[in-house]
Amino acid sequence: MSSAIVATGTNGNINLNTSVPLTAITNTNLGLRLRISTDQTAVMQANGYALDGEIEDYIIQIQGPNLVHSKTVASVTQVDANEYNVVYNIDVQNTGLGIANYALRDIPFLMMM
Amino acid sequence: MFTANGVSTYSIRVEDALDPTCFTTFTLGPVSSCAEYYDWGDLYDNNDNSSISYPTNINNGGEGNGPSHRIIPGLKIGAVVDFELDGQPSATAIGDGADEDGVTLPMLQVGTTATIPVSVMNMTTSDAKLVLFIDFNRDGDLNDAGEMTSATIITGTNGTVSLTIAVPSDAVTNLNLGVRARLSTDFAASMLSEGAAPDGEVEDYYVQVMAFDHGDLPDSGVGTSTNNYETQSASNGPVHKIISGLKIGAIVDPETDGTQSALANGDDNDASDDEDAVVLPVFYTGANLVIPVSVMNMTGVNAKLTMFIDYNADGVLMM
Repeated sequence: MSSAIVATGTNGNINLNTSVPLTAITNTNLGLRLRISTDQTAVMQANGYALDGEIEDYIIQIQGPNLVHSKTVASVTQVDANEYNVVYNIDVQNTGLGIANYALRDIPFLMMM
Repeated sequence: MFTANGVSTYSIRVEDALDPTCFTTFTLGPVSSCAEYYDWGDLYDNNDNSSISYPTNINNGGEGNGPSHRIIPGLKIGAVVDFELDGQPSATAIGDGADEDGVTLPMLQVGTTATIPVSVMNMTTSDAKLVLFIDFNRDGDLNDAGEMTSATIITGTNGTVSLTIAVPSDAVTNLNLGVRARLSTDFAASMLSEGAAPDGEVEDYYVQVMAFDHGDLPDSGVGTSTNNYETQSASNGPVHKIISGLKIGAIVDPETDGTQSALANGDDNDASDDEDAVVLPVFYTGANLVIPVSVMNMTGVNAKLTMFIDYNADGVLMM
């Protein structure tokens, strides 16, 4: 929820800020509700009676990310008898509007000889 | 039966039982006129035909005569009827004092049908007409279409009669509207909002009509779940009493309950589209959005504007 005080005498635009979570549900109808009232306590809840003002409801959808990634081996260089340097190219593209986190994890393991 | 008008005389002829040509005549009367007492109304009357001035007084500024009723036994609205020599206009329709006691005005809400209990007595030998007027468009008369409701009060009635009247969707809200109730055995006279009636009573009141705004997010039942928000009254949905000078966007229109709909357009598609305050931006994950909302607050006190978004799609719009 975000809120703003609308001072008496206001007749124009008030900016509300919202940060869309990375975990927000995407491509699904989601409710958006605006309320205004001098009953400032009432409009802190999305339901119930407010002694004056107005309510407006909207449906929105949130655009998510669309990640495409690929991994290719760029080069393999032998360092010694048992050691190689391998260089990978990780290609990550986000073709969606949404911002996403992308993490690389290097999980070492022992090769059984 | 005598007519007490101060003019008519009545004769009794007493004849000799054996010779009818022999008789004596007794002349009675004229019987002194009874004092006539009239009841008048008390809606505000500025004698200028303006939107807040009702026809209440005698013969005033082009508005016609105010209503008057000769008070007779057994024909009245409520317990008390008192007499005046002229209308008793006052800004709150209390100039007539104690006799405004028969009509129980409920909360009036636009777009609904109101039931108005009226206590009446008709112990005359004729049926009477009870008529109630409400100046829904606040133009200072009670004569517009839809401003009148009535019932016939049959002889012998002594109790409560319920009148119903539809409150128009465009009724003027939150301002005093004149209400007048008339009861008379002269049906035609009581059906007029002004002028003299030969008997009965008039009672004047003020009433305000309220209007409420509701939401229209999808609400498939009580409680919350995906795509099931709290919108309808049965779900404790949000309700705002509409007042002047406090709104989101240009338009606010009234409903009598939520107009839940899948795309939240139930309130857009009724009488007018009151969902007009924001141009929604493109929402995307991770976005930091600034959303301009068109608002007006001319109430004299600060208001609060809030926005709820169901980012996790659980139907709960939380802080």
